[in-house]
Parts: sequence; C-alpha cells; structure tokens
Amino acid sequence: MKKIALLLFLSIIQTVYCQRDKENFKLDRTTRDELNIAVYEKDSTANAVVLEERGHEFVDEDNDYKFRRDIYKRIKIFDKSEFERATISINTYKTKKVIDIKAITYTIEGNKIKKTHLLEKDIYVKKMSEYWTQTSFTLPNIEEGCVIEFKYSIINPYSKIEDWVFQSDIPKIKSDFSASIPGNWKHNIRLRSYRNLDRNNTKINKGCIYIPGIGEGDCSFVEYGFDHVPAFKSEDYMLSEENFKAKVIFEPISFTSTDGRTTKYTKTWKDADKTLRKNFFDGQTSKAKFFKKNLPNQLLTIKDNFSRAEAIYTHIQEKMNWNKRYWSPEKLKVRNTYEEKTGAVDAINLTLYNALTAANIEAYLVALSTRNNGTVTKLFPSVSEFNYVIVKVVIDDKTYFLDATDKQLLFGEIPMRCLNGEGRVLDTKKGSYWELIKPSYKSYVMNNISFSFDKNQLNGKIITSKNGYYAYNERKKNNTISDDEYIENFETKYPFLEVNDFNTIPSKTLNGTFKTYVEVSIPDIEKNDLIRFNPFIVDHITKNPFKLEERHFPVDFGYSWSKSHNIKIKIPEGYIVTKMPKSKKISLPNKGGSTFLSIKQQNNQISIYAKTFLSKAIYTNKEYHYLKEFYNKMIQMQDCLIELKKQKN
Amino acid sequence: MKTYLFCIIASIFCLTANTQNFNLSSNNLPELLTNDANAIVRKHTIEITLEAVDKMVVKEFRAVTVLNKDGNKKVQAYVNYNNDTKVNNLSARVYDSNGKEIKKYSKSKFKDVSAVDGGTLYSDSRVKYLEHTPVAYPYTIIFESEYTNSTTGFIPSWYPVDTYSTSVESAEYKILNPQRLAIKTKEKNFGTYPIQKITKDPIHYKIENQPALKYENSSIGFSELMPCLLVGLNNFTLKGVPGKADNWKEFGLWMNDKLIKHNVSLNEATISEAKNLVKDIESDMDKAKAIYEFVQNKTRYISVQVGIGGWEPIPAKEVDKLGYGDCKGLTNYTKALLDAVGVESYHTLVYAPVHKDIDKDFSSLQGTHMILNLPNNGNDIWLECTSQIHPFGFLGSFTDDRNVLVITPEGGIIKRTTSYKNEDNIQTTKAKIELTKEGNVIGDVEITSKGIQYAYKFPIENKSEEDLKKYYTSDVWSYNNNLDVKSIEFQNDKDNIEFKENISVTINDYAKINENEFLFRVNVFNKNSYIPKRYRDRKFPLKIERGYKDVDEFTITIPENYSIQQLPPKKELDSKFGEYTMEIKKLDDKTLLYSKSIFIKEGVYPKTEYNSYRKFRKTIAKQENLRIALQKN
Repeated sequence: MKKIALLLFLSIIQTVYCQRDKENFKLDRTTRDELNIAVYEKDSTANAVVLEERGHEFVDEDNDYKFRRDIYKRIKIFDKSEFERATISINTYKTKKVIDIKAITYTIEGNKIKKTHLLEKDIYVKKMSEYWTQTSFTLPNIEEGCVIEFKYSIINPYSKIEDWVFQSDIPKIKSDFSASIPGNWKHNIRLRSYRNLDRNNTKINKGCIYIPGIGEGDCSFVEYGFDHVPAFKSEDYMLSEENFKAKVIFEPISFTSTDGRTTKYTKTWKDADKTLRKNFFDGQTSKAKFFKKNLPNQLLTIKDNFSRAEAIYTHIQEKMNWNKRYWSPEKLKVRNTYEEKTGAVDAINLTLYNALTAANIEAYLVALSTRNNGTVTKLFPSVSEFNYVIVKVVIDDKTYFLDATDKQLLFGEIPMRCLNGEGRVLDTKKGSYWELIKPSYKSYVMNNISFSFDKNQLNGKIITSKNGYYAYNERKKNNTISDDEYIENFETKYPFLEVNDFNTIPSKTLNGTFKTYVEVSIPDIEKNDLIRFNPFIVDHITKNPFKLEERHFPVDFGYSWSKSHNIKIKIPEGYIVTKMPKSKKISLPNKGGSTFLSIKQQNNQISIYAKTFLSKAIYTNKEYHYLKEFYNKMIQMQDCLIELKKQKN
Repeated sequence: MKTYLFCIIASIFCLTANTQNFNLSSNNLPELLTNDANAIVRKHTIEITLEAVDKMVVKEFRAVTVLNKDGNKKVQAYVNYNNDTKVNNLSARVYDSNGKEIKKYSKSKFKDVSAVDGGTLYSDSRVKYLEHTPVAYPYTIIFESEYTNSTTGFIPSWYPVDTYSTSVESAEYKILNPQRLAIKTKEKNFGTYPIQKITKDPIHYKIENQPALKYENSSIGFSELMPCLLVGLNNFTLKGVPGKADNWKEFGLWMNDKLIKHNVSLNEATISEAKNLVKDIESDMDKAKAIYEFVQNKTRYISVQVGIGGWEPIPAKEVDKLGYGDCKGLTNYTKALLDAVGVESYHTLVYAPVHKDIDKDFSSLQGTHMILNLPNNGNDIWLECTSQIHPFGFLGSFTDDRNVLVITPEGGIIKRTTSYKNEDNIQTTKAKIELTKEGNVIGDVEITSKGIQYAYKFPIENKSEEDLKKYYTSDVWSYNNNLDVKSIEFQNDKDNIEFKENISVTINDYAKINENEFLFRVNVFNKNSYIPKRYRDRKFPLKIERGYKDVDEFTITIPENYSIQQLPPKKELDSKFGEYTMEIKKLDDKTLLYSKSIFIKEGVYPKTEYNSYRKFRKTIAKQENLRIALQKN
C-alpha cells in the first residue's frame, strides 16, 4: 500500500496554474458497422474486443491542479461469456477519486440503434477498507453483439502517474495514451513493448499553463498508441505478467515549485538512494545506538563474526512476528517494531539491519521487487518498482542475504518471492549498486531406498534428504502437524505403500537438511511366481508440467534443482531377474541439465542410481521444446519395471 | 412485571461478574481440551436482549486460547454490521501464556472493511475485525462486543461446538425477552454433546468441556454433525418492515403480500411481446421453456443489495429495462413473464450452494438463494433463473435434492427439488484405439454425460479452443503425457439433458517396446484412480456425497507383427459402496475389447466401514492401471 503513496506523497501545489490543456473525451462514437460485426478478424477466438481506448493525463485547474486522468473505452461483446466486461470496478487509494462517469450500451433493435444510458443512481461507491474505495457500475441492457462505451476520470493528488497498460486479456483494436505535463515536473518515461508503436509523438505545448505572477508555462506532451494489440495469455512457470505486457511507465525525476525549490526524486542514483532512505525506510537506517543498548549483551560480545551475525539474526527472527504485509502502512519506527515484536517486512528487516550494524557486522539494505511484482528497470534510477527489502551481510569476504520475516528460514536463506533478478544494495559510503540475488543453498532431494522381500511382501526402507527450498517447504508444511498426520499424509500421497515404522521422526529443526526415515511395505506382491514392481516408489514424476505446443515466455523455476534416487534391491533366494530397465542418459543442450539412470546387477543385488538436475533457473521460450521432451524422457525412464521370477526346482 | 425486570437486571449482573472467573493462564490446560486442538474456547457467552419487535441488543464475550498458528482463525474477533446495526462496544485484550495482559485494542483499532463478495456490485454489509499478529504461542484473547440491530428477523443461532480442531471449555447462550415476544426455538443435533438447558425462560443453555473434533474427508457436513439452537420470533422486523413467521403458511403469505406481489407487474409492451413469443405454442411447459430461454438471452446476473433488497425482488419492470438482476430479480421477472402467458409459477427460497434443507418445522427467514417453481400438475419443474446456459428445468448440483420453500398466494409450502442420484449420473465412454508399431495411440473418443455428470460437463462448451486443449491435456487426461488433441466436437442436447463430446487424439510413446514385447496400459481414456485418505483411527461416519456410474468400452487394434497371448482375467467387485467390472476380450487376432463399468453408490456408512471403502477404491485404482503385454511374432 505504501508502495503507491510511497515516494509520491502529496504534491502540494500551492501555485495557481491556469489550465489550458484539456482533452475532452466524448461518448457516442459507436458506429453501425461496429454493431454489425460478428467476429474480430485478427483473433476469431476473442469473445470480446476493445474497439478503442484512450487515456489522457494532465494537471486539472478545476480540481486544485491535481493530476487528472481521463479514460475512454469502447468494447464490443460477441459472446455472453464476456458479459462481465460490462461491470466496471475502479479501486482508488486514499484521496484519489473517480468523477464524471458516463456510460452507454448500444444494441440493434429492429433496424435501429438503441442507446441505453447508465443512470447516476446505478453507480455505487463502497469504502473497501481504511485506504481503498471502490467505485463500480454495470452497464444496462447487455446482449450478445452489443457495444459498450464509457468514460470516467480519476483525480490523483499524488505525484506518481500510473502506468498505462496497452495489453489485457482481450485483444484491442486501438489503444492510445497521452500526457501533457507542466515543465516543472520531470519524468522518466519508459515504454515496454514487443514491437514498434503505431503512434509516437512528443512535442512541447507552448503556453499550456498560466501561472499568475510568473507567466506562461509549457508542457511536455507525449502520445503513444498501438493498433491491434493481441490478447495477453499467461502461462505456467512464468514470472509476473507485468514483465511482459506492453505498457508505458512514468517515474518522476524531480518537481520544481513556483518558488524555485526543486525536489529531486530519482534524478541520479544518489537522489534515488535518498528517496529510498527517507520514504521507503522512513529515516530508520541509522538506529544502531538503540540496539547497542537493548540487544542482549551476550549476543554482542560473541567474538567470532559469523557466529555473532548468526546469533543476532536468530534473535531477531525468533522475536519478530511478520504481519504478512510488505510495507508498513504508516510511518515505522524500528524501536517500536522491536518492542512490539511485530511488523511488516520493511519494519522487521530494518530492525535486523540496525541490530547487525549495532553488532559491527558489515550490513547493507537491499531493495528489490518480488517475483509477483515484476522486474525492475535498470535504464535509469528508479524507486517506484521496489516493493521489498532484505539485508545483505559480508562476513570474511562472503556474502549472505537475510530475511527475518520467516521463522523457517536459515541464516543466508531468502524466500522464493525474492528470487527475481538483481536487487539494489544501498551502500552509504560507495553509493548503491546492483547485485544478483540468488539462493546460497542448493535445492535437492535425495532418496535412498533399499528393498527386500519377505513372505510375499515387498519391504522398503526410504531415507529421504531434502535441502534448500525443498527442506524449507517441508519445515513450513510440517511445523504444526503431528507425526501421525505426517504418516497419514504420506500414505495418502502414496496410497499403495503402507507405513510400518517411522522410528526416526522427521527432523523439524532448522539445521538445514530435512531428513525422514520411513519403512514401508507392499503386501501381496507375488503373482504366478512373478514379482513385478516399479522401484521409484517415492518422488516419482508421472506428469509432464509442459504440455503446450507453443511457448511465448521464459520458463522460470526460480532456482536450479536436482532429484536423485539411489536404490538397492536384494533379490530373494531362488529368483532370477527377468526384466529390468537399461542404463540411459539424456541431456539438455547448453549444459541446461541432465537426467540419467544407471543400473547394475551384482550377485543378488540390483543397484540403481538415477538423477535429474536442471542447472538453470530460467529457460527461454526457445528452449521450451527441449524441456518438454526432457520431461517426457525422464517420465519414461522412471516408468520402469523390475520383474523377478521364481526358479522352478 | 417489576420483579421480572429486576430478575433480568440481576442476571445480567451475574453474567458480567462471571465473565472472568476462569484462569487466564494457558499453562496446565487439561488434556481433554488440548487434544487435537489448535485453539480452546475458554469462555464464550452470547446474550441477546429482545427489547422490542424492532430492537435487539447482542452482547458477546469470547475468550479463546490459541495454541498454534492454525488456531489464529478461531479467535473470531469481528462483528458484521450494516445500515441497521449500531456497534456499541468493541474491544479486545491479549494475554500471554501466564495470563498477563500484553496488549489492548479499542474499538477504533479494529479494521473496518466492506464485506461484499466479488459477485456483488453493491451491498451495505461491512465487518469490523481485529488484525492481531501473535508474538508467541499459546496466548489468549478476550473479545467483547455489543451491537443493537433494528432487524430482529435474524436472531443469532447458537453453535456451541465452534469448528473443527477447537475445544470448548465453556459456552453459554441466553435470550432475554422482557416484552414477552412470541419466540420459538429448535434444538438440532444435540445428541450426546454435553449441553445443559439451564432454564427454559429465559432461554439459557450451556456447554462445558467439549473436546476438539478433527476434520475428516468424506464426512457428513458440519451443519448436520454439530449441535445448533435455532431461535426465531413469530413477529419480527426486517429492514423496517414488520414480518410474520408463526408457521410457513403465514410466512409465505407475508412474503407474498409485503415483498413480492407489487413487484411482479410488467408494462403492456413487454406483456404483448411475451404473448407473441408463445402464440403458436400449445402446452404450458413448452410456453414456459420459450419464456425461460427468452430470459436467458435477455438478462444476466448482477447482485445489488440495498435495504430490504436482500429479501425483496427488484420490480420486474426494472429488470426488463436494465437487463440484469440478482436471483430474486431474475426469478421474479421470469414469473412475471410466465404470468403474462398464463403459466403458473412461484418464487422459491432455497439454500445454495451449501447443501442444506429449509427447516420444515421451523419457520423463519431462511435460504440464501431464489429459484422458480412450476407446479406443472404435480410434476414440479424448477428453474434456475440466474443462468444463461442451463437447460430448461435443470438445476445441477447448486440446488438439487433439498427442501425448499415455495411462496404461493395461499402461503408457504415446503417441497423438495429434483435429485440426481446414482445411476442417473452416468457417463459412457466409447473409444476406437489404434496402437501403432512405434508405440503411439491414435484414438477417437465419444463421451456421453447425463445427470449430474452433465452438470459438471456442459459448461465446457463455452471455453475457448485453447482452454479446451488445456482442459483435455492437463485436466481430463493429465496422466497421458504427449497427448495431442486433434479435433473436438460437442453436442449439447438440452432437451434430453445429454452432453456428448467427440474428440480425436494422438498419444506418442504410449507403449513401452522392447525386443520381444509391446507393453501398454489398457485403460487409455478413463482412469479412475481416486483413493480416499488413509485414517488410522477414523472418528466420523463415511459419507459418499454423490453416486455415479461410468461405463467404458474401448476397441483396441494392435500393431502388425504382434500377437495377443495371455489376457488378464475378468475382474468383478461387488460391495455395499458400489460395483466394478473389468473385462478384456479378444475379438480377433488384431483386436481387443476393453469393457469396464464402475458404479459408486451414495450413502452414509458407519465409521468402521471406512477402511473397507478405501480398500474397494484401492483395488479399483490398481485395476485401472493394468498393463498388458503383446508378444512379437
């Protein structure tokens, strides 16, 4: 939430401008042709298409010289499955407001165009929560083939201009956005697009504004437009959609008030760092003194740097309780956070940072954007895309990233949501810099399985070791369940296995590897003197997650991983092996990964070692087909059979 | 009268004085209460004072000890309110495990948010709730609230057993009725729960030392399992409108007269349009079908709840103009059109989607949804008026098989909606499968679905081609890797409630081939491998919610140079939960016929049967995975 208000506090513009620049979007642009079309030619599967949409941003003299965005849309609805397009809900933050809503539905009745207007009484405003208000309406008289047209304006007292997103889940025939911004505002304007714009103009609007006592001011005018924007379709294992949709993004650089004072937001990284410190971190970046006094002394006096850092981390992690927010909605104070033992990510990790600094550990704050939030631009200094903060420490030339909001994390482990490329490390001495945020623990699963037979029953002993994110997920899942529940869940996941013994209890401590020991049996295994079974009794991949014919976006696992099975089978006396799989190996190009199975029989024992690893976190859409095939081959490899036959005497 | 009042004052005093005579410490709690519990309701009292027919005051005191993070949601420190409600008091205090107060929340510290669900455009429902981040477990929260409501149609019922995994040390419920308003109560599922009826007048109940119950899959619904006390007034107020509920007849008369009658009229143009629509149709039901389809094409579901609008339909004329309405508005509009063409129909209150009956012996404001009843000379037909795609007279699982209240001008009548049981819910899968020598499958599949299986299926008709491909590859046949959908065709026979899918597919690398064998799973297209969760110590009876039957017939042609040798024997299972048969026959040297039928019977079975049900499903699942080997010639 703070993210929105965050840098861009109220732009209190005392000055009186005289607004001359205004775009007036008018309704009534629907044509008979638009009502008659039965299908959108460029995408015949579309059940609705945006015929035209426009947005215009400017400073509005009629509304206290606040930013104003006028929005106009016209949508053709082909099919009833898209009737929900006729319901519009606009969420606004704090003092933002929605005004001038007008809407018309167009239908054909007989041979005439019928217009049904939205009535003022059918517009609803709800206060959703302390910070958010929702304005909503639905257009009347919707039927298949109708065209809906509406406009509204948003008055924005903050200085952050919202992105304009050209792409949505339905196609658009025309999408245009323009902005006319007075010269005392400077913005970095960034366009993300998969192809060239169809309309792209920039110019200076001379004398767009009159400021009494000073004179006329100019506006910089920009205009961008696309024709025929295809629908955006999201795919599994992809990063935030926001990374891939065509859009225009505004980042304020500076604002100069009429008395000549300039506020710099992100002119240089130095300004950006300051903005972060002041507005993201509420000036709480140098509170080491408080922690020197209040941290338990036995922690501060630990000699070894690593042990001291770890002890401080564990202390903060255990003491603090995350309230599930990324940002504190109100100004935070680390002192209060520490005393109240609860807070948002920013509050807890700022507390951690100050505590580490108090313990003379080389620590830095790292601002980043989470996986859901999209990646951050590096073209110019920017702060508005950050939504998360962690801590970096350097001990004996080794770097660790820390996050104290989650009790199941190890020292040096960060939540999956933070694995989103580079973060900005705030170094007060040298200035900030980019650094890749990557996990410092390897993520793997190792299964050691040994089989033996007894009285027509197959017995298996399974020792599973999980590390990295696999171990983290287990700790998270299992920290409130009993051993009985653990076993019940195991038996539900593997219904053909019956658990006999679990004399080693799954470890729930934080020492990294999550180890389980389970003894299972499969009764009545022998039929007609034959014993047949698949030795991959746990962690057996049977479904390929990749089934698309075509992939548009990279596959992003977040981290590289491996899974292995080390299987030993004792052949019972009087039996011979009649079927067993062959050794095999398949690799991805460019050292992307490998899957193999090696098998050998020695005396009365079969040994199998099988391993699959993907060495990259991200695979491009061009590598998708290899990945899909790789999974297929791995599944076939694991779908194997061992057959033992009783020797007739 | 005076003494009586004094009595009440005395008892309120007692109750307040009592509220804290339990130990706030959460150390040394008895095992009876901590077993299987994430939270313990230490003391919960609800005290309702019916001050007038249009004024009730509800006081709640709730002390909960939370044992772990899954117990946080049992704190339930919130109060729902709307324009009729005045929240007088709201506070919470937090105690650590030693019973020491560590935090206090006043009314202004509660979050205040809109309680409107996603499907509703507007409603005045709001909730004030406590957002508390615990700093250690266990901890105890005392939540106290008091609100005044001018609607007395919904006197909070008493649910003495909270939810699963929550034990109750003590909970009390009391109704004070100084005006001696005519009041009725109904005890439901009290069974063996440790509930005491302390006094009849005032209504006063108590439960003590109720251990926590753990949730189990395939159980009877919570509302049928847990005790509940229903309370209602014969004369009540609903959003400023006086109402009557002496019995269902009275209640129906009241709804019809006060909320419905005046909203059913249409303007002349629409009436003649409706008449014109059915002018060449003979039978009443065919007329009704034409009207229903007209409504489906003209309207859509939009929910707006303002004032009494939660119970009163918006006028039919308004729906006619706007083209949208909520369940009441659309039902009412359909009825208005049916009136215009002379077909009898009635508004009907129903619980949906929760499978729950309108209580036939307890008349009060009940139900969450409205549908339309057509008496049709004793062969009731039910219409779901909020759907643009349902066949005429088809309810699906949203409202089937439950008691509903039909509102006629002669009063309310309890009826039961259509049910879709066991063999009614049949799916037939016929497939022609060609196995190529490379081990691929080329298949043509025809799936016909009826009954509730129709209900699950027919909405796919509206999916895009891309979504459909994904539906078949990742959902229906996710166990077949490398499945490619070549063509899809549907036939939706709305008259006979029958949905037919014709799909052509290929599956590469389906079989495993080695020097002398061709090994493949014989059930290519309808693998039923559901196995219920294992419980080592099942506590509740088993409920199979929905019975169904699947019949599969696959003709399989084998590749050149292979021959069919040994085939698995016929498998037949017969149990109280259903039946299973599987047979593979050799039609000729090149062709196999795989026939399978699985029938699952709905029903409730004692907990001791759970394991044998699991075994039944496990045996089936194993069969469903059966492979056969062809030998190379």
